[in-house]
Amino acid sequence: MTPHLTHEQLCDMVLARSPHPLSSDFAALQNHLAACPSCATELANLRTSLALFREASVSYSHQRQLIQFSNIPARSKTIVQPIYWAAAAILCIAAALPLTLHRQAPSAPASSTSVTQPANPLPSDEALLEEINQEISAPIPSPMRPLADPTAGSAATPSTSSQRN
Amino acid sequence: MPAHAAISDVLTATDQAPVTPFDDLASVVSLYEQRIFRFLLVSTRDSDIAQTLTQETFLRAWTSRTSFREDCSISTWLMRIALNLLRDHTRTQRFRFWKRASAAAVDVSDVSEHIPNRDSSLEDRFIAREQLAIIWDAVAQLSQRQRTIFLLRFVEELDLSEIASTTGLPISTVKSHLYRALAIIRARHTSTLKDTL
Repeated sequence: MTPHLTHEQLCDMVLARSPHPLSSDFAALQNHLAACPSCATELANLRTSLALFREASVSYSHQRQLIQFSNIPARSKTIVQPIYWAAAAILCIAAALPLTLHRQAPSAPASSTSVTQPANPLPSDEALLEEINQEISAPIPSPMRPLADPTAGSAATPSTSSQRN
Repeated sequence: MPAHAAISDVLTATDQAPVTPFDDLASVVSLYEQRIFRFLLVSTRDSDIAQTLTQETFLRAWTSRTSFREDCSISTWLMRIALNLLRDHTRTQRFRFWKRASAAAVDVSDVSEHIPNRDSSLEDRFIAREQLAIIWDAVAQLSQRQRTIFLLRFVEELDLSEIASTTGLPISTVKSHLYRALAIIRARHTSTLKDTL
Protein backbone atom coordinates (compact mmCIF):
# COMPACT_ATOMS: atom_id res chain seq x y z
CA MET A 1 0.00 0.00 0.00
CA THR A 2 1.21 3.53 -0.80
CA PRO A 3 2.10 5.78 2.13
CA HIS A 4 -0.97 7.94 1.46
CA LEU A 5 -4.32 7.48 -0.21
CA THR A 6 -4.25 7.84 -3.98
CA HIS A 7 -6.28 10.61 -5.59
CA GLU A 8 -8.83 8.08 -6.82
CA GLN A 9 -9.16 6.52 -3.39
CA LEU A 10 -9.64 9.91 -1.79
CA CYS A 11 -12.14 10.91 -4.48
CA ASP A 12 -14.04 7.68 -3.99
CA MET A 13 -14.21 8.42 -0.29
CA VAL A 14 -15.48 11.93 -1.01
CA LEU A 15 -17.94 10.64 -3.58
CA ALA A 16 -19.14 8.03 -1.08
CA ARG A 17 -18.03 5.40 -3.52
CA SER A 18 -15.61 3.71 -1.19
CA PRO A 19 -15.44 -0.09 -1.28
CA HIS A 20 -18.15 -2.12 0.31
CA PRO A 21 -17.93 -1.86 4.12
CA LEU A 22 -17.44 -5.60 4.41
CA SER A 23 -14.64 -5.79 1.85
CA SER A 24 -10.96 -6.01 2.75
CA ASP A 25 -10.20 -2.83 0.74
CA PHE A 26 -12.56 -0.88 2.93
CA ALA A 27 -10.91 -2.19 6.07
CA ALA A 28 -7.49 -1.27 4.67
CA LEU A 29 -8.65 2.27 3.83
CA GLN A 30 -10.12 2.72 7.29
CA ASN A 31 -6.93 1.45 8.89
CA HIS A 32 -4.90 3.87 6.84
CA LEU A 33 -7.12 6.82 7.71
CA ALA A 34 -6.91 5.90 11.37
CA ALA A 35 -3.12 5.73 11.19
CA CYS A 36 -2.46 8.70 8.86
CA PRO A 37 -3.53 12.08 10.25
CA SER A 38 -2.52 13.82 7.01
CA CYS A 39 -4.94 11.84 4.85
CA ALA A 40 -7.62 11.91 7.52
CA THR A 41 -7.33 15.69 7.91
CA GLU A 42 -7.34 16.30 4.18
CA LEU A 43 -10.36 14.09 3.69
CA ALA A 44 -12.19 15.74 6.57
CA ASN A 45 -11.36 19.26 5.33
CA LEU A 46 -12.42 18.44 1.81
CA ARG A 47 -15.67 16.94 2.98
CA THR A 48 -16.34 19.92 5.24
CA SER A 49 -15.63 22.42 2.46
CA LEU A 50 -17.87 20.61 0.01
CA ALA A 51 -20.63 20.37 2.59
CA LEU A 52 -20.29 24.09 3.33
CA PHE A 53 -20.41 24.85 -0.36
CA ARG A 54 -23.57 22.83 -0.75
CA GLU A 55 -25.32 24.23 2.32
CA ALA A 56 -24.45 27.82 1.47
CA SER A 57 -25.49 27.36 -2.17
CA VAL A 58 -28.80 25.79 -1.22
CA SER A 59 -29.55 28.42 1.38
CA TYR A 60 -28.50 31.27 -0.88
CA SER A 61 -30.53 30.06 -3.86
CA HIS A 62 -33.54 29.54 -1.62
CA GLN A 63 -33.24 33.10 -0.36
CA ARG A 64 -32.79 34.47 -3.89
CA GLN A 65 -35.90 32.66 -4.98
CA LEU A 66 -37.88 34.11 -2.09
CA ILE A 67 -36.64 37.58 -3.00
CA GLN A 68 -37.73 37.05 -6.60
CA PHE A 69 -41.16 35.97 -5.33
CA SER A 70 -41.49 38.92 -2.99
CA ASN A 71 -40.34 41.33 -5.68
CA ILE A 72 -43.16 40.42 -8.00
CA PRO A 73 -46.02 42.12 -6.14
CA ALA A 74 -43.79 45.05 -5.22
CA ARG A 75 -42.60 45.48 -8.75
CA SER A 76 -46.06 45.08 -10.25
CA LYS A 77 -47.42 47.47 -7.64
CA THR A 78 -44.92 50.14 -8.49
CA ILE A 79 -45.64 49.67 -12.17
CA VAL A 80 -49.38 49.30 -11.92
CA GLN A 81 -50.05 52.20 -9.56
CA PRO A 82 -48.98 54.91 -12.01
CA ILE A 83 -51.04 53.13 -14.65
CA TYR A 84 -54.05 53.32 -12.36
CA TRP A 85 -53.47 56.99 -11.78
CA ALA A 86 -53.05 57.66 -15.49
CA ALA A 87 -56.23 55.71 -16.25
CA ALA A 88 -58.10 57.65 -13.56
CA ALA A 89 -56.87 60.94 -15.01
CA ILE A 90 -57.93 59.93 -18.51
CA LEU A 91 -61.36 58.94 -17.21
CA CYS A 92 -61.75 62.30 -15.44
CA ILE A 93 -60.78 64.16 -18.59
CA ALA A 94 -63.09 62.00 -20.67
CA ALA A 95 -65.94 62.72 -18.25
CA ALA A 96 -65.22 66.46 -18.06
CA LEU A 97 -64.82 66.98 -21.79
CA PRO A 98 -68.48 66.46 -22.80
CA LEU A 99 -69.57 68.71 -19.94
CA THR A 100 -67.25 71.45 -21.11
CA LEU A 101 -68.44 71.05 -24.66
CA HIS A 102 -72.02 71.01 -23.47
CA ARG A 103 -71.50 74.28 -21.61
CA GLN A 104 -69.84 75.93 -24.56
CA ALA A 105 -72.45 74.75 -27.05
CA PRO A 106 -75.52 76.69 -25.67
CA SER A 107 -73.58 79.99 -25.72
CA ALA A 108 -73.56 80.05 -29.52
CA PRO A 109 -77.29 79.38 -29.93
CA ALA A 110 -77.96 81.96 -27.22
CA SER A 111 -76.43 84.67 -29.35
CA SER A 112 -78.37 83.48 -32.35
CA THR A 113 -81.61 83.54 -30.38
CA SER A 114 -80.88 87.10 -29.31
CA VAL A 115 -80.48 87.99 -32.93
CA THR A 116 -83.57 86.15 -33.99
CA GLN A 117 -85.61 87.22 -31.00
CA PRO A 118 -87.35 90.11 -32.78
CA ALA A 119 -88.74 87.58 -35.20
CA ASN A 120 -90.73 85.96 -32.39
CA PRO A 121 -91.23 88.66 -29.78
CA LEU A 122 -93.02 87.87 -26.61
CA PRO A 123 -96.03 90.07 -25.69
CA SER A 124 -94.36 91.53 -22.61
CA ASP A 125 -91.27 92.39 -24.63
CA GLU A 126 -93.49 93.96 -27.25
CA ALA A 127 -95.07 96.19 -24.65
CA LEU A 128 -91.74 97.14 -23.20
CA LEU A 129 -90.38 98.07 -26.62
CA GLU A 130 -93.49 100.09 -27.34
CA GLU A 131 -93.07 101.98 -24.10
CA ILE A 132 -89.43 102.67 -24.89
CA ASN A 133 -90.32 103.87 -28.38
CA GLN A 134 -92.90 106.23 -26.94
CA GLU A 135 -90.43 107.61 -24.46
CA ILE A 136 -87.85 108.16 -27.18
CA SER A 137 -90.26 109.75 -29.59
CA ALA A 138 -91.60 112.13 -26.95
CA PRO A 139 -90.48 115.77 -27.65
CA ILE A 140 -89.43 116.35 -24.07
CA PRO A 141 -87.98 113.44 -22.17
CA SER A 142 -89.89 112.64 -19.05
CA PRO A 143 -87.05 113.54 -16.69
CA MET A 144 -86.89 117.04 -18.22
CA ARG A 145 -90.60 117.82 -18.16
CA PRO A 146 -91.63 120.69 -15.80
CA LEU A 147 -92.93 119.50 -12.54
CA ALA A 148 -96.64 119.94 -11.91
CA ASP A 149 -97.55 123.02 -9.77
CA PRO A 150 -98.25 121.77 -6.33
CA THR A 151 -100.37 124.90 -5.52
CA ALA A 152 -102.63 124.49 -8.52
CA GLY A 153 -104.93 122.25 -6.58
CA SER A 154 -104.96 124.49 -3.43
CA ALA A 155 -106.31 127.59 -5.29
CA ALA A 156 -109.30 125.74 -6.42
CA THR A 157 -110.04 124.47 -2.94
CA PRO A 158 -110.25 126.91 0.02
CA SER A 159 -107.73 126.52 2.86
CA THR A 160 -108.74 125.09 6.08
CA SER A 161 -107.59 128.25 8.01
CA SER A 162 -110.10 130.48 6.10
CA GLN A 163 -112.76 127.92 6.77
CA ARG A 164 -111.83 128.08 10.43
CA ASN A 165 -112.17 131.87 10.32
CA MET B 1 -41.20 36.57 -12.78
CA PRO B 2 -41.14 33.04 -11.37
CA ALA B 3 -41.86 30.14 -13.66
CA HIS B 4 -45.12 29.21 -11.99
CA ALA B 5 -46.55 32.71 -12.57
CA ALA B 6 -45.65 32.74 -16.25
CA ILE B 7 -46.90 29.24 -16.79
CA SER B 8 -50.22 29.74 -15.05
CA ASP B 9 -51.31 31.71 -18.12
CA VAL B 10 -50.46 28.78 -20.31
CA LEU B 11 -52.28 26.41 -18.01
CA THR B 12 -55.50 28.37 -18.09
CA ALA B 13 -55.57 27.93 -21.84
CA THR B 14 -55.62 24.15 -21.53
CA ASP B 15 -58.58 22.43 -19.97
CA GLN B 16 -57.72 18.96 -21.20
CA ALA B 17 -57.24 16.02 -18.86
CA PRO B 18 -53.56 15.33 -18.07
CA VAL B 19 -51.93 12.90 -20.47
CA THR B 20 -48.29 13.42 -19.50
CA PRO B 21 -47.04 14.57 -16.09
CA PHE B 22 -46.25 17.92 -17.70
CA ASP B 23 -49.90 18.60 -18.48
CA ASP B 24 -50.26 19.28 -14.78
CA LEU B 25 -47.47 21.76 -15.02
CA ALA B 26 -48.36 23.66 -11.87
CA SER B 27 -47.53 20.59 -9.77
CA VAL B 28 -44.34 19.94 -11.69
CA VAL B 29 -43.23 23.55 -11.25
CA SER B 30 -43.99 23.58 -7.53
CA LEU B 31 -41.99 20.37 -7.09
CA TYR B 32 -38.95 21.09 -9.22
CA GLU B 33 -38.66 24.84 -9.65
CA GLN B 34 -36.42 25.32 -6.65
CA ARG B 35 -34.02 22.58 -7.73
CA ILE B 36 -33.77 23.85 -11.31
CA PHE B 37 -33.33 27.44 -10.17
CA ARG B 38 -30.65 26.42 -7.69
CA PHE B 39 -28.67 24.48 -10.27
CA LEU B 40 -28.89 27.33 -12.77
CA LEU B 41 -27.99 29.91 -10.14
CA VAL B 42 -24.84 28.14 -9.01
CA SER B 43 -23.95 27.44 -12.64
CA THR B 44 -24.44 30.94 -14.01
CA ARG B 45 -23.88 32.84 -10.76
CA ASP B 46 -26.44 35.36 -11.94
CA SER B 47 -29.90 35.35 -10.38
CA ASP B 48 -31.62 37.11 -13.29
CA ILE B 49 -30.24 34.72 -15.86
CA ALA B 50 -31.03 31.78 -13.59
CA GLN B 51 -34.61 32.98 -13.23
CA THR B 52 -35.04 33.46 -16.96
CA LEU B 53 -33.58 30.05 -17.77
CA THR B 54 -35.72 28.38 -15.11
CA GLN B 55 -38.81 29.86 -16.68
CA GLU B 56 -37.61 28.82 -20.11
CA THR B 57 -36.95 25.28 -18.86
CA PHE B 58 -40.53 24.78 -17.74
CA LEU B 59 -42.00 26.39 -20.81
CA ARG B 60 -39.87 24.19 -23.02
CA ALA B 61 -40.81 21.13 -20.98
CA TRP B 62 -44.47 21.97 -21.45
CA THR B 63 -44.24 22.65 -25.17
CA SER B 64 -42.32 19.43 -25.80
CA ARG B 65 -44.22 17.35 -23.24
CA THR B 66 -45.39 14.85 -25.83
CA SER B 67 -41.79 13.77 -26.35
CA PHE B 68 -41.48 12.79 -22.68
CA ARG B 69 -41.42 8.97 -22.82
CA GLU B 70 -41.06 8.45 -19.07
CA ASP B 71 -37.84 6.53 -19.66
CA CYS B 72 -36.25 8.83 -17.06
CA SER B 73 -37.56 10.74 -14.09
CA ILE B 74 -39.21 14.14 -14.45
CA SER B 75 -36.35 15.66 -12.54
CA THR B 76 -33.77 14.22 -14.89
CA TRP B 77 -35.73 15.35 -17.94
CA LEU B 78 -36.08 18.87 -16.59
CA MET B 79 -32.44 18.99 -15.64
CA ARG B 80 -31.52 17.87 -19.14
CA ILE B 81 -33.55 20.73 -20.63
CA ALA B 82 -32.01 23.18 -18.17
CA LEU B 83 -28.56 21.92 -19.06
CA ASN B 84 -29.16 22.39 -22.79
CA LEU B 85 -30.46 25.90 -22.21
CA LEU B 86 -27.50 26.68 -20.01
CA ARG B 87 -25.08 25.38 -22.62
CA ASP B 88 -26.74 27.45 -25.36
CA HIS B 89 -26.73 30.49 -23.16
CA THR B 90 -23.14 30.32 -21.95
CA ARG B 91 -21.86 29.77 -25.47
CA THR B 92 -22.80 33.26 -26.51
CA GLN B 93 -20.37 36.12 -26.24
CA ARG B 94 -23.17 38.29 -24.93
CA PHE B 95 -23.42 36.11 -21.84
CA ARG B 96 -19.73 36.59 -21.10
CA PHE B 97 -20.06 40.33 -21.44
CA TRP B 98 -23.23 40.67 -19.38
CA LYS B 99 -21.91 38.28 -16.76
CA ARG B 100 -19.16 40.78 -16.05
CA ALA B 101 -21.50 43.76 -16.17
CA SER B 102 -24.55 42.30 -14.48
CA ALA B 103 -25.72 43.70 -11.18
CA ALA B 104 -27.36 40.36 -10.41
CA ALA B 105 -24.01 38.56 -10.49
CA VAL B 106 -23.45 36.48 -7.38
CA ASP B 107 -20.36 37.14 -5.32
CA VAL B 108 -18.82 34.71 -2.87
CA SER B 109 -19.41 37.21 -0.06
CA ASP B 110 -23.16 36.98 -0.74
CA VAL B 111 -23.07 33.22 -0.49
CA SER B 112 -20.79 33.11 2.54
CA GLU B 113 -23.48 34.91 4.50
CA HIS B 114 -25.42 31.67 4.26
CA ILE B 115 -22.85 29.43 5.88
CA PRO B 116 -24.61 27.66 8.72
CA ASN B 117 -23.56 29.15 12.03
CA ARG B 118 -24.06 26.27 14.41
CA ASP B 119 -22.92 28.41 17.36
CA SER B 120 -19.36 28.33 16.09
CA SER B 121 -16.61 30.65 17.23
CA LEU B 122 -15.43 33.62 15.22
CA GLU B 123 -12.31 31.74 14.18
CA ASP B 124 -14.33 28.75 13.01
CA ARG B 125 -16.56 31.04 10.99
CA PHE B 126 -13.55 32.68 9.41
CA ILE B 127 -12.13 29.29 8.46
CA ALA B 128 -15.50 28.24 7.08
CA ARG B 129 -15.60 31.37 4.91
CA GLU B 130 -12.13 30.60 3.67
CA GLN B 131 -13.08 27.05 2.82
CA LEU B 132 -16.15 28.20 0.95
CA ALA B 133 -14.18 30.82 -0.95
CA ILE B 134 -11.65 28.19 -2.02
CA ILE B 135 -14.33 25.92 -3.42
CA TRP B 136 -16.16 28.87 -5.01
CA ASP B 137 -13.04 30.06 -6.82
CA ALA B 138 -11.97 26.57 -7.77
CA VAL B 139 -15.39 25.79 -9.26
CA ALA B 140 -15.09 28.90 -11.42
CA GLN B 141 -11.85 27.51 -12.83
CA LEU B 142 -13.42 24.24 -13.93
CA SER B 143 -14.39 23.65 -17.51
CA GLN B 144 -18.08 23.95 -18.34
CA ARG B 145 -18.58 20.19 -18.33
CA GLN B 146 -16.56 19.57 -15.20
CA ARG B 147 -18.46 22.32 -13.40
CA THR B 148 -21.82 20.95 -14.45
CA ILE B 149 -20.95 17.46 -13.30
CA PHE B 150 -19.41 18.74 -10.09
CA LEU B 151 -22.50 20.80 -9.25
CA LEU B 152 -24.86 17.97 -10.10
CA ARG B 153 -22.93 15.73 -7.73
CA PHE B 154 -22.06 18.05 -4.86
CA VAL B 155 -24.96 20.51 -4.85
CA GLU B 156 -27.80 18.47 -6.30
CA GLU B 157 -26.42 15.26 -4.80
CA LEU B 158 -27.24 13.15 -7.84
CA ASP B 159 -25.82 9.66 -8.22
CA LEU B 160 -23.31 9.04 -10.94
CA SER B 161 -25.93 7.15 -12.93
CA GLU B 162 -28.35 10.09 -12.65
CA ILE B 163 -25.62 12.49 -13.76
CA ALA B 164 -24.85 10.19 -16.66
CA SER B 165 -28.51 10.14 -17.64
CA THR B 166 -28.82 13.92 -17.35
CA THR B 167 -25.69 14.75 -19.28
CA GLY B 168 -25.94 11.88 -21.73
CA LEU B 169 -22.40 10.78 -20.89
CA PRO B 170 -21.19 7.32 -19.89
CA ILE B 171 -20.69 6.79 -16.17
CA SER B 172 -16.94 6.29 -16.67
CA THR B 173 -16.72 9.72 -18.33
CA VAL B 174 -18.72 11.29 -15.54
CA LYS B 175 -16.40 9.70 -13.04
CA SER B 176 -13.25 10.88 -14.77
CA HIS B 177 -14.66 14.45 -15.00
CA LEU B 178 -15.36 14.32 -11.29
CA TYR B 179 -11.84 13.08 -10.55
CA ARG B 180 -10.36 15.92 -12.59
CA ALA B 181 -12.63 18.49 -10.98
CA LEU B 182 -11.75 17.20 -7.55
CA ALA B 183 -8.05 17.26 -8.42
CA ILE B 184 -8.29 20.99 -9.21
CA ILE B 185 -10.32 21.65 -6.10
CA ARG B 186 -8.04 19.55 -3.94
CA ALA B 187 -4.95 21.35 -5.21
CA ARG B 188 -6.48 24.77 -4.49
CA HIS B 189 -7.82 23.57 -1.21
CA THR B 190 -4.55 22.12 0.04
CA SER B 191 -2.38 25.06 -1.02
CA THR B 192 -4.71 27.76 0.29
CA LEU B 193 -5.36 26.07 3.60
CA LYS B 194 -1.63 25.54 4.10
CA ASP B 195 -1.07 29.27 3.50
CA THR B 196 -3.92 30.27 5.79
CA LEU B 197 -3.41 27.93 8.71
